[in-house]
Amino acid sequence: MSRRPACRNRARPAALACYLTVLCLGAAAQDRVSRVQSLDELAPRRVYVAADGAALAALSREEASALEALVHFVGLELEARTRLVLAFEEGAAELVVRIGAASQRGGYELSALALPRREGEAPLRYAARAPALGPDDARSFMRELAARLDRAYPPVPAMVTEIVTERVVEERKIVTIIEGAALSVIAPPGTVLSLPDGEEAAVDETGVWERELEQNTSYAYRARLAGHLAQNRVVFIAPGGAVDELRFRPLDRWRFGLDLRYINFVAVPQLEWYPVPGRLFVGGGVESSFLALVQSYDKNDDDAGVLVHYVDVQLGGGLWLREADDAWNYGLTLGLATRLDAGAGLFRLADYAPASLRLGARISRQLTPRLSAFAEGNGRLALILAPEGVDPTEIMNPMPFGMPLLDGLVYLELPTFFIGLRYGL
Amino acid sequence: MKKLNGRLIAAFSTLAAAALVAGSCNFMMPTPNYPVMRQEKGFHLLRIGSMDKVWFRGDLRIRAAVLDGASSRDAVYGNLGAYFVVEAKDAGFDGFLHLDETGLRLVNRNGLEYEAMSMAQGPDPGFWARLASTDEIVRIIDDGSGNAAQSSVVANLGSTMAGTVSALWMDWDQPPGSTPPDTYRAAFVDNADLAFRSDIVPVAGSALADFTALLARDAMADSFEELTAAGDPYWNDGRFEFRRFGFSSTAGYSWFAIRRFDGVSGREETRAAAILDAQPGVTRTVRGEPEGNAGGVLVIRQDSEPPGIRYALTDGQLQPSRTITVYGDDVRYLGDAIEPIDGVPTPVAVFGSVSVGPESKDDGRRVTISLWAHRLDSFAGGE
Repeated sequence: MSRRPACRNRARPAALACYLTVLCLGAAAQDRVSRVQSLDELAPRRVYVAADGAALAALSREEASALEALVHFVGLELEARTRLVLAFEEGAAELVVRIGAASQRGGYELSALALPRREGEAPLRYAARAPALGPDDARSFMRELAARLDRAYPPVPAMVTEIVTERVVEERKIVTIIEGAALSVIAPPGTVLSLPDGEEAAVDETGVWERELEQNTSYAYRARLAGHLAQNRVVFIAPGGAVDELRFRPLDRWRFGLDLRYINFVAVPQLEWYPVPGRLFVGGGVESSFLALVQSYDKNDDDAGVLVHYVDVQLGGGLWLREADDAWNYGLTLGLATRLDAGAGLFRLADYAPASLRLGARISRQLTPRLSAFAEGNGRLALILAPEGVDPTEIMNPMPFGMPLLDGLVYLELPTFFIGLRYGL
Repeated sequence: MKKLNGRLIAAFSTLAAAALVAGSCNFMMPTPNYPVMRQEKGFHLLRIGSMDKVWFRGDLRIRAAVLDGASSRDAVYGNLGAYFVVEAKDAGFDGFLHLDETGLRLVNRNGLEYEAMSMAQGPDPGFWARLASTDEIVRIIDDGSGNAAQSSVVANLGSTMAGTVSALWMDWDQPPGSTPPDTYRAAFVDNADLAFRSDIVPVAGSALADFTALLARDAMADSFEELTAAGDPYWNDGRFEFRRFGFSSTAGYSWFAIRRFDGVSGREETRAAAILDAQPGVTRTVRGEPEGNAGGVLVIRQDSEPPGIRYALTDGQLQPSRTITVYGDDVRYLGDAIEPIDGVPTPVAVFGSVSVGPESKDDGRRVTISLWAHRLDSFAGGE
């Protein structure tokens, strides 16, 4: 949030460049008053519109009145359709336009003469016929005149004149004054600011960090506070200064959510706790075929169902490799799991994977400040508790893709991919 | 042209790499579909056999199963065989599955109209079963060419029957190392009551029953707790159905699986009934379905669903000593045998566990049967 405090609302020149170079020619220890001119932003021309005196004299009283009325309409046309602004005194105008009319057979010859006061600019002449001197009859004349004047006399940089008073310390010394403005960052004490060029600063106990910066520039920095979501800030340094007040959102300590695994969509509730917020989490979940949205894909008879369900109790953790405020984050997960078989008259450690080591890689996308979605590839090293005399590689039908290790004592499962959502508390 | 070829090669390589990565990923949840499930402590795996491209719908259930008579007693490691009659919707086979040292294979019925529920373990290769057409107990074997064959007639008990016989079984029981007085017992159910016939060897046409369990059928009928005429009327005619029969020569009792079934609602109640030889007038029943006896221990399947099938182990008075759970898509107690456990010939109780693999449109399904042994000496409440 950037705002301009009242206490810093002191007058400053609004200069195109905020470098004012002053040539000081006075003697030592004298006050020197100098006039400095500089170019400012583009400014419109001021135009004064009047009826041509010679034309008025040649017209009848009624026609002269009509022409003077038409002059007012021309002014309105210029105000509405051009970048010119009307001046109400000829002395204040940069451009004077005189409108004339001459009676001709069946109508009038309308003419306009624009005389700029800026050196090097040419006058503009325009004439057209009109059936009468009324505004409706002269509409095309007025519009064309407005268009031509707008093209011929566009806005020009304004000239700013300042009176600078300074004390001349040394003769013929060039003094360069850089007009600056203060950036004030209001943040909790301990906030670390990563500034451009690798510089770092910390907000002290006053809760305010200040720095004088160039006016009319943007200043980018990153603010970090332990246990809170880091922020990338961009502040515009206005001539009156800028104040950036930071409000940090605490990083999630707890996250819960749901994974959706396998082709039959096993919903896996998960809970995660962050001992190192934003970076390291530990957690657990329960994966079970009881929670499969598609209960069985290998038996399609009406009275045949899954006899044995599994309940996988998983504990583990993960490490995020990027900052918590990054939209995309990558992480590694590691966990242990124990699997139970459950069915009618059966609830015990499973034959397959009664203990397993899980390893995964995760990519996450922050959807809202609290909600994120991720995809994970996860492989597993599973212990096999095969009955004596049974080939461990055939303990299940079908076995997951993978390879037996240590004479079939363990089985390395090739990865499975799943998606999930997490919501922060 | 070279640039174009380079782009094509790069695009093809990218696609191939992406396909390779995608193809090597696991998209299926690792459903615990175990061909062989781990069993409780005390079980020893004896044999596994699998058969591919088996076509059927729904679940596969074991209707009846027995051990091979000869191999169950020879204590030779690795040759134990077993026979399974399985049932499933739209099954593309009619016969039984034979599991032995050569694997699991389907044996066609080959026209033999034996009753699956009468299958019993005999002393010789194959199994005993009753032919419905002749009331003969015959020995059925796998002829090795994929067909069932009748090896011999064990007994023709039809000539010994009195009145109208409604059921007939014969069982053989000789615990390893024992010399019991009876090695077989036949049971008859006529309109009057139950009758038994025991002898050292079955002799067709020999004299009728050693004893008759008077009022046993009434006692059995009165023991049902759910499907009763008074409390919870059911739709079936008749009193109840005898499903299986067996006896323990060492403990001296006969056992029956009796069942009521409501054909409209689909409810059923199965109970185990036992009659001690020493108390022929007393019939005891408990809830559950007896599947066989291991020596003096009756193995009763309790109301339970796969994959954890729970069995109660009782004595002849149906007093439970312990329960065990056997895991599989379906499980059946097969009988007792002598098998080397840790190198020592050991009397064991053998269970069969069936597992069905995922369905494939083109390849049918894979059926795996495993045989599991448990020491008999731990069955009576020991281990």
